[in-house]
Amino acid sequence: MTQVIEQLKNKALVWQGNQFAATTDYLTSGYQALDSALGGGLPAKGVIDVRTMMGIGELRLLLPYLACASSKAAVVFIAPPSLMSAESLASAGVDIKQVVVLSADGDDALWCAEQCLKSGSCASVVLWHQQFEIHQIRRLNLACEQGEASLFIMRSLQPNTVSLPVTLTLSLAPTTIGINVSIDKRKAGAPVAQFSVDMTEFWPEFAIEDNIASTDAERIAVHRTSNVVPFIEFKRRA
Amino acid sequence: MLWGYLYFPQLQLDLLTKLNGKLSADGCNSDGNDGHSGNGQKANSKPIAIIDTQHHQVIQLNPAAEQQGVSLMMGLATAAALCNELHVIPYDKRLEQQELSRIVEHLYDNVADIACDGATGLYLRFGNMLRLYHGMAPLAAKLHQLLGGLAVRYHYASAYSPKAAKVLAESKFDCFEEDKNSIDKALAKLPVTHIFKQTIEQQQLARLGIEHLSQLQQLSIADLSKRFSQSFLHDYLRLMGKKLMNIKFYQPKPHFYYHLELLYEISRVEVLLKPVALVLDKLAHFLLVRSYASHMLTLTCYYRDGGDIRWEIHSAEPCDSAAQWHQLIALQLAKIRFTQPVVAIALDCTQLALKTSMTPDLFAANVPRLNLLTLVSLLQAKLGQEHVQKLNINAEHQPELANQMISVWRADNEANKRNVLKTQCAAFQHFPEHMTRNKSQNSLQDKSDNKPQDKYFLNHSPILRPSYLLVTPEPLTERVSIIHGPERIETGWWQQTVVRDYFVAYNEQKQWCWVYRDHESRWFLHGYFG
Repeated sequence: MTQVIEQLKNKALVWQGNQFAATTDYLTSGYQALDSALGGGLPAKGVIDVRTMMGIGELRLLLPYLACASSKAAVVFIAPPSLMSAESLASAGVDIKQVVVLSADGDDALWCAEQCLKSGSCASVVLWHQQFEIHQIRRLNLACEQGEASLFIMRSLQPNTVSLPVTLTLSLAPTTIGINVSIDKRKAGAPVAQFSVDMTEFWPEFAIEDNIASTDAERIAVHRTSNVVPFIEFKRRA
Repeated sequence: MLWGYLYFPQLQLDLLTKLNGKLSADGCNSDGNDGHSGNGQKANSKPIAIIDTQHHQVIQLNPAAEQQGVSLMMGLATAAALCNELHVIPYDKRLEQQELSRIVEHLYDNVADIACDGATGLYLRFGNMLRLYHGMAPLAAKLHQLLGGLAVRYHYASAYSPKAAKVLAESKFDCFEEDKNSIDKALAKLPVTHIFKQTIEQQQLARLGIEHLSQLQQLSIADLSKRFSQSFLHDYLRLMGKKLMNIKFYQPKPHFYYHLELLYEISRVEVLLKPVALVLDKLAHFLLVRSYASHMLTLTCYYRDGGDIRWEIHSAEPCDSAAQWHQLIALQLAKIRFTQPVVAIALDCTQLALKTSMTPDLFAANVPRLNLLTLVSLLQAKLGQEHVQKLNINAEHQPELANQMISVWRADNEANKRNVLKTQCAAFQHFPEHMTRNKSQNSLQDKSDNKPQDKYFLNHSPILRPSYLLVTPEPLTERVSIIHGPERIETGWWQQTVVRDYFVAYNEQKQWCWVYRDHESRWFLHGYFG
């Protein structure tokens, strides 16, 4: 049995929790709840697998980290699902002069990610890509080590059978005040069940009062704004 | 003033032997068992003669041909009769001129005053160079060293007039002499037929019984002018250094251009990269000695049946390293398939910039392997220039115009960068008061003592924009709940009026959408707040 474990350890398929604790350094994510769950913050280097839907606040969760990264070196977005808005990134404190946006797909995207990570001139890379193989993640991990950079993999929540050797896996789900995060897997630490990250402090606009979220959402029609009173209601009031 | 002359009697033949030698060496390396390998040695031992096409006379020949009895100035028919294997090649003046200008470029780094004389010789003005080299011996050694590397046959001489140096070199004087007396002695011994090539002049001289220059020197100029033509007199005066010659010295080309005829046809990119590397080495040398770097190269490949294909290879950062350019070219050509074999390549580099060096952080723990612009060049070569973009905020109200990305990368200095940032921050302060986000800013300022990253939120802009912006707005087809709004954007009355009321909305998948209603009350989705 121990022999089998030794072999698995040699192939880096199994690792021990205490092995990485000392070597990993963190960069605060800007959110108290997430920092405390992660024991300090998001890893400063390594591959971080983020499983999320698009448009639920997943970038807002990472923006303080990326803003901090952009003050040190470049931040690269590879194959984002649409145009990246310079105004929104600038307003979150990201130095847009340091941002590079690449449109690439398939193997080209992975190649670009590796080159950027390895170069040492990028602090962080955000890659939208769905399917990975273990050896690809390994190469990306090595590139992260070499260039002291971090890679965020943004992909959908679809259940993935292959367990990838990433530094950290986060699953995100929307809530009314921010985002629910669960830490599915991480090096040098145990998984953490779902917890809520309150983003209203930085983003008060993206909060829904509970009644709107549950019942009123049904009531408000597509073509109506909250400050327009329907004609029938107006007549009734009169 | 002391002058030197280099005479290349068989430039075309030397070029041919050099190419054959290279070809055989290449053949040995790549496909040794193919039968090509023996070709090279055979090519060297094969008798070759280069023929003047006008007079059908042998003007250059290799030792193998000489062994068979062929000699210079022999008629083509006689030569062919003596040696039936003789490989006859027509004389190509253009080729020799090209090779000569390459030799000039090669020598120019060490000898400043240099000029081409036709297709076979070079004038060198030693006067100033002697002071630099402290005497003739070091200069001569340097010249021999440079010319030795070229594997061409040459004769040389020096004299106190360019014409005299030329005549001495052509008569194989083969000595760079400084002493005026010994030069004069050598000149005096020269047969006049070596100096005056025209038959009429030679006949006139023969009639007077003049065989050597010394005899001519005893006659006075006045006497000579009575008997000989104007042109003869001019030649004679130039020879004696009494009349100036009009010599146009070589000026280095302002741009780099190199045309390389391939030794064999190439139809695969991997193979083509090897000759490209040779040319790039030349480019690197060109840039190095001028302390230049370049943003862009043009590589042209010429097809066998006419036509060509060219690529512009860009580098975001001025680059002068052959290895880096080679990497960029390899990336750009990786997906290319040639429709026909390539027979020649040309490399053109016209955009030159003075080299600037990056100053890395002295105390940084990890020194970047590549700087950002080098990385961008790599990515551009792989993906194409339009796929590597940077963010930009335009002074526009319409979101799709304000957030247009740009794909032009140039090194801009730090000070410039700061100015742009400052103006951006100033631009944000012009937004209406009711849209500022007092709540978030206040709460942040309270806490900013112990959190270092909070400073990035302090320039939080008052406007709310989605991070994912759709390229073109799509009609809204799903149910959404409006959470914030409206924010009216009304602009473009001078061309196409845009009136939009933007709302932040929440859809049933719990995504934060940015939707708008236009002036005809149609609803569109314009982005997601990621």
